[in-house]
Amino acid sequence: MPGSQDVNSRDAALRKLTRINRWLIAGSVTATGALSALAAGTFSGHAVTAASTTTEAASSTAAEAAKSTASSGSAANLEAASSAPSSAEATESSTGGESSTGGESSTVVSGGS
Amino acid sequence: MAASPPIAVEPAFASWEALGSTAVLGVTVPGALSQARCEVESDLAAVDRACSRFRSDSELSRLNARAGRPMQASPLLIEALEVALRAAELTGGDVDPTVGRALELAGYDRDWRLLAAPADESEPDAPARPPALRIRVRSGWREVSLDRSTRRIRIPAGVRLDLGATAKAWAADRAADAAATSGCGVLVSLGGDIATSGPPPAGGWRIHVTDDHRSDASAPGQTVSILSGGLATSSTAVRRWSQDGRIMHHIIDPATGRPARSMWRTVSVAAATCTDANIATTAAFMRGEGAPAWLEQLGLPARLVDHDELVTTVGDWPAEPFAGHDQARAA
Repeated sequence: MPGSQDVNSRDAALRKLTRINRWLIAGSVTATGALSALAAGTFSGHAVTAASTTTEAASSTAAEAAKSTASSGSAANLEAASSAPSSAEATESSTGGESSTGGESSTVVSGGS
Repeated sequence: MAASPPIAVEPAFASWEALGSTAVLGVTVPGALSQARCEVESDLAAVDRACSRFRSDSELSRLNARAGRPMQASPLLIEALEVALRAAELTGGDVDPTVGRALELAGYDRDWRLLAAPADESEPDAPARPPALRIRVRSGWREVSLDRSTRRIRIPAGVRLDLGATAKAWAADRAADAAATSGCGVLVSLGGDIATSGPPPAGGWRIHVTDDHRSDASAPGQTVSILSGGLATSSTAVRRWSQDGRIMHHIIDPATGRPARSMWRTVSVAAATCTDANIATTAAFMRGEGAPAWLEQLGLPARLVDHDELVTTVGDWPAEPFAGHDQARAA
């Protein structure tokens, strides 16, 4: 039969273990949240659009290449012209033929092809 | 890029067949036309050898045949693909170079002038009879691997690239810059995708926007002038063919792998380059009624025509001179 002192020691040890377990659980939950937030910030994903029909993990190579192009001279967005088109009166004929000369009739046609 | 001072000399023009379409070259110094044409023809031939989907000896055809395996490519094809991937990035995939297989399944597997002409005007996706097999083509520009340092490209197995949505406009930009080295103003039009470089003629370059680039300036549309940059027009009314009784066109919606069913028939956009203008016109078809707001947000002047011939203008695009309220509206 254990003495009352042994019982008290056991109960004290159990209470200590319980406190340690609670702290461990609380600490692991906090650490999980912090690490998740860190990972989300470090490895940000991309928006899924209707045009991107692939459901597999997408390689970032193409996107990086596109960004590389943008940084090597092309604009990072579609770029507007320095001046907008202005209205011009319609003319009677379009451009065509070898080495035809210009003049008021030298209108180039932009249409579907 | 700021517009250069205009040149008060009438421009001279030449036109010929190139890249499966019509090339038009304009120069502000008539004496420079021959040299400029040599420059443009040389550049277009190089682009054709690198980027044509219809030439079995092109680099692009070799790349498509090696899908799933890496291939070392020329700087020209690398640049063309970078332009195409940038278009995909900037449009959220609305302009996707991996729709080559979808185009082939839609019947666009050769020069479109060799395809069967449509017998009627029914819309795409209106089948004459139920298809025996429906194939959904997966596209995915993000899976294309491009390493500029080693010049190696790898496309996923089963994928075929088509650079048609960007290469022609990009070629026009390149050709205009190449021909403008002598200092004269240059306009290059490839199938109606127009790039300019150098000082414009007095009053600017006159451009008539309409459905079909093979039309003349009397066709329904609008005549505008530009001092710099590019202007592109895309239309589903022109490059059409018939497949199994259905009318098909060349603007593929990457989300469906089928010809886009859009509220727009013809879209024209002005931008700093012909490439950017063309990217915007193509994406506008996929964005439907959201296209005017998107173009407005980007600050790109545009003219959109729907299937009822109602014209919508965006931003600083000039108003239609003779259109009433029932024919035109501003976004």
